[in-house]
Amino acid sequence: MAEPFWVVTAATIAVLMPGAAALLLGARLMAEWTPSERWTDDVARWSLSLSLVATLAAAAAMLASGDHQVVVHLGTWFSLPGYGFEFDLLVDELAVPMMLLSSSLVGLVGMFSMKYLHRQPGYHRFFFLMFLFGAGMMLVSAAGTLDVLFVGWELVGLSSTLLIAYYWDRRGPVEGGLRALATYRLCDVGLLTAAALMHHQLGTASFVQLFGSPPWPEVASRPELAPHATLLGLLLVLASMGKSAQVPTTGWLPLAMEGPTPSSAIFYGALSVHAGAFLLLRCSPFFEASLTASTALAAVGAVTFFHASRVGRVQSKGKNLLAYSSAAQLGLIFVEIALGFRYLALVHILGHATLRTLQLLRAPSMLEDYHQVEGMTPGTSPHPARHLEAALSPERQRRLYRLSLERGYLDATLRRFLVEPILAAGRLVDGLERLLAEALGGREGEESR
Amino acid sequence: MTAAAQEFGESPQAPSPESALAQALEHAAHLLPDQAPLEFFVHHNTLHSFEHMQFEEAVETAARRLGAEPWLAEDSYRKALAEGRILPEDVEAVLDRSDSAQVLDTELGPAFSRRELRRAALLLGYREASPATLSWLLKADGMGSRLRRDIPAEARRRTLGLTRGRLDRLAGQGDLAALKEVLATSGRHRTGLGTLVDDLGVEPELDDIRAELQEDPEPLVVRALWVACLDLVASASTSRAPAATTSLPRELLLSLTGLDIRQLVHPRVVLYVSAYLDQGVASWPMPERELGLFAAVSRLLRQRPPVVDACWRGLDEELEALGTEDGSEAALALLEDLGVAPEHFQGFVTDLLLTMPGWAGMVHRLERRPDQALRRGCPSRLVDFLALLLLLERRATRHVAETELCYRGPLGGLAEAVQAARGEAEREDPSPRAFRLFQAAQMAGLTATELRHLPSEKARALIDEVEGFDGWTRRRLLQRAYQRRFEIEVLDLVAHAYPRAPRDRPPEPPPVQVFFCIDDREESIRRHLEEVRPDLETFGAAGFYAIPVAYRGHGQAHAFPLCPVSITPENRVEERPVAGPQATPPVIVRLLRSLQLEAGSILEGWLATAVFGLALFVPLVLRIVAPRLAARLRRRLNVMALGGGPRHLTARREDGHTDDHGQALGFALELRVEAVARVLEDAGLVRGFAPLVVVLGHGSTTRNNPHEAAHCCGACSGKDGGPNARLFADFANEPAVREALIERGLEIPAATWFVGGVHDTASDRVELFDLEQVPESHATLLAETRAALDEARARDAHERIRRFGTAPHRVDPQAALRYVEGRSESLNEPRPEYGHATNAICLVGRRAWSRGLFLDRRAFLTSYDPATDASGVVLERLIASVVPVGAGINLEYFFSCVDNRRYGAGTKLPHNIAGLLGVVNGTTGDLRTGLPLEMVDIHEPVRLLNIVEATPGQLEGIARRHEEVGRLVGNGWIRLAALHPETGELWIFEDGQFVRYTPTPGEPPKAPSSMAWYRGSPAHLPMAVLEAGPSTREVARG
Repeated sequence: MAEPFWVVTAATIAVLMPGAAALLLGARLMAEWTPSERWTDDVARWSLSLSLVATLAAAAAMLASGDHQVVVHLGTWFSLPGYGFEFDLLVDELAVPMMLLSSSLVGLVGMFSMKYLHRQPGYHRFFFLMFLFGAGMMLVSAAGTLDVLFVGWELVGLSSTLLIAYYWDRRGPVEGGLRALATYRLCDVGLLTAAALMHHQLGTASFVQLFGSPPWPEVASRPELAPHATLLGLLLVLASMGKSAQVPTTGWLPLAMEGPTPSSAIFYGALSVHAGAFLLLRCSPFFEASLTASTALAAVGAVTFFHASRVGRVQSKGKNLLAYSSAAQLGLIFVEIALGFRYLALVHILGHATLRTLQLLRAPSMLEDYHQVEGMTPGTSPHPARHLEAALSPERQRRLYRLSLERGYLDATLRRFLVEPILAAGRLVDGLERLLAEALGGREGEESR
Repeated sequence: MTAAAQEFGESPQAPSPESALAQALEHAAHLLPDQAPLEFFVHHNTLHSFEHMQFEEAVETAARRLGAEPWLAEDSYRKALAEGRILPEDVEAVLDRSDSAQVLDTELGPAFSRRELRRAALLLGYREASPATLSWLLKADGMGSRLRRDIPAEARRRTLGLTRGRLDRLAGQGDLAALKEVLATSGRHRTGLGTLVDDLGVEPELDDIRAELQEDPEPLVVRALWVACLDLVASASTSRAPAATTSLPRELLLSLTGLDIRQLVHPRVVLYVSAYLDQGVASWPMPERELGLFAAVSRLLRQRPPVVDACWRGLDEELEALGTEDGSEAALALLEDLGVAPEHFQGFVTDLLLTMPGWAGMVHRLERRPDQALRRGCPSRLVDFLALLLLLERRATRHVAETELCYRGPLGGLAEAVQAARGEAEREDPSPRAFRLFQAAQMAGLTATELRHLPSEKARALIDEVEGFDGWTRRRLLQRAYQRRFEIEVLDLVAHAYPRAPRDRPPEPPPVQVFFCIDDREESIRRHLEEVRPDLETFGAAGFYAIPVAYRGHGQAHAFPLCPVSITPENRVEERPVAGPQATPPVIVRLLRSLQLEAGSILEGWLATAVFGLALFVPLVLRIVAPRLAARLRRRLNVMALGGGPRHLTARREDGHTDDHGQALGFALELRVEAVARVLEDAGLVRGFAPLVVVLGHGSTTRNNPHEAAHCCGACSGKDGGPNARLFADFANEPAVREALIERGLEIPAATWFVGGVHDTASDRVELFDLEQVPESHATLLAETRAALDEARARDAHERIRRFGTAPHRVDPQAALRYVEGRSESLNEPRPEYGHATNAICLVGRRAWSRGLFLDRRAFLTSYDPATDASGVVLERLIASVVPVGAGINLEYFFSCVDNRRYGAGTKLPHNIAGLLGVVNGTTGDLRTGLPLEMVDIHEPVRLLNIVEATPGQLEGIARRHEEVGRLVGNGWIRLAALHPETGELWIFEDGQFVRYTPTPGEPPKAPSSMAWYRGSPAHLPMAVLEAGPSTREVARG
């Protein structure tokens, strides 16, 4: 099949534009040649709208040509005799909607931020990170191999961490950023291992070669996947859990709302949190092939849904409430993927991302919204008096309320059984090393502290 | 000691713990921010509880107590100096008044007096440095090798010339040892400055030094000076009192272990208190809230959690052992256990509560004003909050003491037990002080030798002077100079305008009279209206138009007071559709709720995201790309949901309305008459009525703005004042009211018609109400007036956008109007309007003399005519109501501007609404009170200058009789000037009495029109006199 020229060109432009903008602005900042706000605005306007237009063009070209799956070969990362790491994009019915979502939301939020961040210290840093994020998100959406996806995935994670810590003169944002970083890194183990396993066991990480035709969302039964599907599926669940704030890692999401409102909206309402669900959709044949993996996926999603809806009910701060609502809907999306409703999950992702972006961008309007709803139903409180909890005994109400308020004790559990042991082990190793160093070289051990 | 106390067997030395706790709480509560929930936000003096002190003293005392900055950063003043906003003569004047001439003229050194040194320090400032930054400043920034560039040339020549001469002599004599001594080339440890050996790599030889003296002697000169300063400061080491620390154990633990208990305790406290106080964000409120904060939370905490952080292990047992749910009993027990004696309660409790001023202040506010809670029935008590804080503080203290210090004894003994472990306090590094002396020496043109040979008492005097004239002192004086320059500018302008203004109102009534609120933001639209229609007359009155009403608009769930916060409305008015109520279908309400806030059920949540979610792409795009269009569509949808059509007000009591909520529905005739009489008499409009009188309230439409109430009408408790204007016009048109007014000697001609309206200070929309009732005879006049108002609001928009950084600047007024309409509807505009920023003046008097002055939206304008107020009654009530309101606004802006971190709310961008009560930064932490940075970033902090058209004697009398006014004026929180109605002399209140102000000779700046003056200028503008030049319409086009 000849490569359809227009799809290839448009997709390439769409994916590379945000990255080019990041390079341009980054280079200027590195050279300490600080641009004016207007200059950065122009870079944003051009690059983001070009990216959006190119995505639209790619979609139109796909529709016009009737292609369902186009592989864009951008180059070879490196190759060995008989083996190569390809830098491929895959444009299909899953990638196009996600690319449209990413480029349009990044574009919109970019436009939003030009005014919103006016006169803020760190204006250019914000836009640089946003371009980086856009580049990452487009790479994830259009990735043709798991390796390319991983590159985008890391860009998303890095820019997201740095934007949470945007106000680095306060403690909260830096802690929130660190928490997100730790969660991401931990869960990246899943993605990295999965990629390595794919290369090792299946000989490739290219989605087309692995899942091949028929194109997404059809799934052909591929017996050669079956032996590895369970392990790969579970690793991918681990990978996506962190990004999508599923139990037990949910706790980072509300803490991530420390940055300026637009970055919170696009990262934690719209795109970044859906990257996990997207990865699972992309690799859905594994879950078709393995009942264990899909059961695990459904369980994670369902538990998260119940956890996050419970916790959400007692949140007293606007953005925290939205964070838990996000996690809950993501849980539902995970369940949909596990059950094989791929189209539904995709539509759910798109709708949820849109709704949440709007809600988070409007988070400071909360008072106004309450008045509006209240005014339409005079005499009632904004919340219809449907506390199912009221049916419980006072003792149980207290128990359940405390459980929700303490976020299901998830964070305490993680600290107790994961963080503290790791820290203790670290301290132990450090102590041993120091002893050893002292034994070997006397005072040098002291200095290395 | 009172007899009553003795009766109860109390001794004066040991008050009972209960009363000590009550006193401590009362004391602490004074220091907490007294900010209302967002909904009821009204400006007030941030430092209200310090008003009993003199302004400057109060500001610095508060800054010390609350950990804040008292004044702007020194750089801001220096910028003002560079821009001519402070002149050298202002510095000279404040310097003159700062101390006695004898002190100022004392010789401190060979060639300079204290005055000269202070002047140089004020004009140039000392760069401050910590030991850590010092080394960088000296080496990398070149301060160790060059004299400061900005010191006067004469001083520079002196230092360089004399020192070089001495070095040359020593080099000539070949005295290497002396040279090395002077230059400290080796051997001794010098902070911040390497030895010459470091710099050159080898021990310098005589030839090296000679060569350098030939080539570029400055580094050696500076080096010698620096070394001399270090030696001098080290030899005259002063023992300074260690910085005061608080009484909390957390400080002790922090200094010993580096662990801050705050990081453990605060997130917990915030979690519980924000859940408890929540007014409706959470869909499941905390159970048993009616018991009070401490009881409800302790019931939750008494259950043993399955997993818990090490720090909180055992909290349930401690609560069990405490054995009480009563906040004050618990607080007493906890205080005792922490080893705090009743006589130390005050300090301890205050320190502890001040670690979380935002939440503590809100708890206290809701305790005093339970009516400001949307959710009733959950008592808010500061003592409960204290008990909770103490409980967690004690647990965390124990935890840290046990794990880090292995201390398990009673906490009361913790301080003593660890005192031993604490080493000697570190010796203070003298180098930062030497650094200040070093700069002073440069400014004074001193040399190293002179410093070394200063007699010891002289040396001490010099060091003391440099130390004593510290940053706060310099900034205080610079602030005075800044205020002085501003006052001179305004007073000169008024002195120029007053004699040129007509003494009497025109004999013929004008065609139209327009009332505006006294608000500083109305100054510009008022001025533009007068420029558009020079034949009409305008007035300024407090924007609630003397109608204290609790008002519920159509589509509002609650009635809100529309009157100054000091008044509790006794009457209530509702807006009702003429066609009868229309219920919104519940389906729409539920859908709206799911889309805007939070889904009520699983199904709704799923539907909202998976089904309707994508459709929201349309509003998302529209609201960002085309906010004006989006707003129009939204309004149309709102009409569909709430019903359109005319609405009437339940304004009059005779109409058979029933009482409700303890408030009478509608106003009785006497009240209606009183309101109309009051406003007209206050403004001096008792005769010469125009056929059409327009009365405008004001509000502000903004989106995504939790601080919206701060932008609305301050005289209406932070709400839209349109309903007041509408009611006022309705009352004033009523025949019965007019008849009753005649009895009071106030005759409104039958041909006069009142129209109420509202001006939106964000979008510059002007809406007039009940136009269908206007008589046919007034139709032409009304149409003309509306056209004039339309032109004026467009020009107002045009003037406003000059200060907006992101606005297009080369546009005509119509385009500017469209722009501000969009801006007010934008979700992404943190500065939809600039509110009261730059407010600085309050004029009380006839408009005749302030008309034609370009006051740059900085002045509150209150109409008052001394000619119609022989008794002074009107003046008295005006001053008593207007001055405190203006002061509240002005001082809140002042403090939020000088220290936005502590007194303000920080940047708006990461704000998160907590419990519908206030905002927090990000996701956790304390409630942020005060104004956000985006509201004050162009503000210029000066104290409000009130100029009142009255005699000094009248004002003195009023200040004596009105405690609040007397306090504000007497203690200098505001500035008060009397403009003598007969002589036109200006008298300004200074140090307890009115002193005559002599205007500076010369003419103020002049311009043909507002637009000609402000056009093309995005920054501060001086005030100016507008002299009717070419027709303003032509200027608009040009």
